[in-house]
Amino acid sequence: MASDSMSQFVNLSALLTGISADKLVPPLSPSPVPQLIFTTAQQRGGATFVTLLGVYADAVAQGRTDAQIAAAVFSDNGADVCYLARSIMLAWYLGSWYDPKVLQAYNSATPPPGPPASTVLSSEAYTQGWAWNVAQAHAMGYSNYTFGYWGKPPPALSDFTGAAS
Amino acid sequence: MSSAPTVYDAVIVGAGASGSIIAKQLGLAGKKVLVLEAGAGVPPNINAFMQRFYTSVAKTPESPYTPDLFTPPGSGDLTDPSTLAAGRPTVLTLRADNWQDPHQAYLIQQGPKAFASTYERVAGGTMRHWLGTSLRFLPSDFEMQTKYRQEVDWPLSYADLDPWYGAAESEIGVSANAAEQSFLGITFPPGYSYPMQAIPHSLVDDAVDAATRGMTWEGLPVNVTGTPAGRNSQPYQNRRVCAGNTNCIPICPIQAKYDPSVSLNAALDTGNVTLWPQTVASHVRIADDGTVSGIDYLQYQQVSGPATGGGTAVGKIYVIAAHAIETPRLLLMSTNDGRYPHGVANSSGLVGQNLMDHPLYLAWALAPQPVWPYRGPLATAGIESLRDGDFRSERAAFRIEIGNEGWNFAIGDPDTTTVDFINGMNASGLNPPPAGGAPAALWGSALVAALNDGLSRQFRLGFLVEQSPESSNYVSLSDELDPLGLPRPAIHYDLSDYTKKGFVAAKQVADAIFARMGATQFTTVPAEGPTTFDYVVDGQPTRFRYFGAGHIVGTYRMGSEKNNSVVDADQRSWDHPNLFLVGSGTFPTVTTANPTLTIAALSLKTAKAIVEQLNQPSGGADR
Repeated sequence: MASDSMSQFVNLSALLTGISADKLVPPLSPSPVPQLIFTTAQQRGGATFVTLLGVYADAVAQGRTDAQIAAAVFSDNGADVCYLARSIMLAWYLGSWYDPKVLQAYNSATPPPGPPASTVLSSEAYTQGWAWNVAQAHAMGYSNYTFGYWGKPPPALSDFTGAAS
Repeated sequence: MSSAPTVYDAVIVGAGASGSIIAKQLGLAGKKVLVLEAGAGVPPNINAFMQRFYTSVAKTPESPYTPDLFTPPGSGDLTDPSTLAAGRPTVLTLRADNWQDPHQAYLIQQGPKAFASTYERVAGGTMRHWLGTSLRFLPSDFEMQTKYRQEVDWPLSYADLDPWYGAAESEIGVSANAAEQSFLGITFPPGYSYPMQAIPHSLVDDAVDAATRGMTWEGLPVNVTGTPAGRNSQPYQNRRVCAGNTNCIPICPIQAKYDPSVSLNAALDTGNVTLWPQTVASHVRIADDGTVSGIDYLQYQQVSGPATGGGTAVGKIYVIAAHAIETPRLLLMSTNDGRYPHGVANSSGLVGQNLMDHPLYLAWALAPQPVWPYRGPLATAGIESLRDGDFRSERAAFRIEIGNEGWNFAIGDPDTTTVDFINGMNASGLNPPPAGGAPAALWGSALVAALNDGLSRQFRLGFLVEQSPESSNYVSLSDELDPLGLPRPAIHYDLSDYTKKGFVAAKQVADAIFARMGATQFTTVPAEGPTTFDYVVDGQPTRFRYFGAGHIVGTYRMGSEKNNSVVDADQRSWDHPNLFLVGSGTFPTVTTANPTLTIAALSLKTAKAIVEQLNQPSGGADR
């Protein structure tokens, strides 16, 4: 893994997820989750992953706005790039891998019964899923809070998600 | 180990709540006890359970435990229950396409509707995944026939059980306030206090409480009260204080919630109790004098079987603590070479009948302001004030559980809503498409804002509806055999009109509470399926869906006479004086509260009766 690829990946992830890069990958954090998501996306995405990072790098180099970059990812470079990006977003949010092809098949206003198939990337990926933070809560089954905290409002959303949100 | 010719004071089948509590009491009394557990034994820690839970796609009540629900583990492919020596049901097999498939569903469901609750076969039992709710039953719950001409009376009263409730609250470690729990006729001895202070309410509780102040329903007040909880509000039994992991079901990661492994380990620590895991009781032997003379068992090494050993466990007293499905299964299998063609303990013909649950009506909504769910224990308060009244002569009662886990139970959130917003879908209802368009697919700060807004306002109400006992709801033996050669349990199940009327009232109360809160309801009902029924409400056909509450009750009821019940008020078989059948299978009615505290109370009462019986000169065979 080239570190510039990882850096690009984290910056792209921050733009798409709305979570600041320094929250996604805190400095000096021992968490294995960012690397796991990167590696999974790289291996599962194959050539599309290279394309996705290339689209992002080109857009950044051209000084595009966030909205223009998002359009490049989701609209301008084909379904494969779009759905891989969504898989990566879901990996950050839920700690699970949703295959891009499965997401594409479920992309309808009236989805069929049952959630799209997925696999949990790891215990840490589940407990560090960003959906919990965006809810200003914690993963079910993984609380770092103390007795009675549930009777008081949580910290502010920005404390969870960083400046990007 | 299994060939030892030891004669124990007691042989117990099942290391769940009842078996563990009784084993502990007998061990403390110096009695020698053998416990046969069909599933795995007590692990040195719960790390493997937690790992299995965290990495399970479907975080169902069964997900942490063994045998693995999925083969290979971590996949989405259900393990074929016909390949398991000690199979178990799962809520994942309640779909129209799999509920009656014997290679998907462990229970052989005969319909017309699906029995929706599940159980564990592992040391610690089904109570490993209990919520912790430790309510007492109401005095009226014990005398439904006398008071309301419905259902049947119990052979004991609230007053009879009161001291045992206190003992059970001590054994479990219940956090509650006695004054707050003194409603609808519940009383406590003077000066009584629960072992620990009450668990604080959640902000979800506070929102429901604020909106229902002054509300009445059919002349009854609608009061939010704290729920007595088998979880620690202070250190207790060398276990930690609750940290609000929001995961009581299926597993508390820090064991602040009591589970029966606590009592089981205490039993083993007495030095008088022996546990044999992976040992399936297969036949109850009856001697010519009508006493039980032994329990045959089969042992296995691999979860897929086959049997690798077997024998007969011999004791003076026998206790079957395998809950309300596996207990009647064992009794019905025990035909004793045709001498008991209808099974053991079954002169009444009632073994297996009157299977009950608290079929649960689930309603979910968005509060107008954040209520901050996904925090705290799964439930910290409820509405108990509608559990009793004259209406019980007409329809089923219910209690209301206020959930702190957003729409996790309801629709599998936060996953469902997150996928909706990222992938441009609307399974949750929170991402409706604009006219003529598709649901939005969000990114960046708009995604964060939409998810935060939706998730932070979610809450749900669960109505535990009292199910009436019906002889047409029963456990029997199927033609499907497990790898040990034993017939798997068959289930016949439906909801009575009395119970369905309770659902109608539940829906009306939910609608009224949501309206008072200014909440927007998102409750949906699936297409007709194994857990739905249709009922006319206000002239309109209305579809309801029920969930299982995990409260498996009634299949070897206690009663006042031999001809109307299987066991007496000490849970002793009328037919076989040295046989005790324990657990919620003895409940004549499912009542209006979660069963566990009463299971524990009755287990303690039975343990005393067993010790007294063992201390008689005859040593147990005679009463």
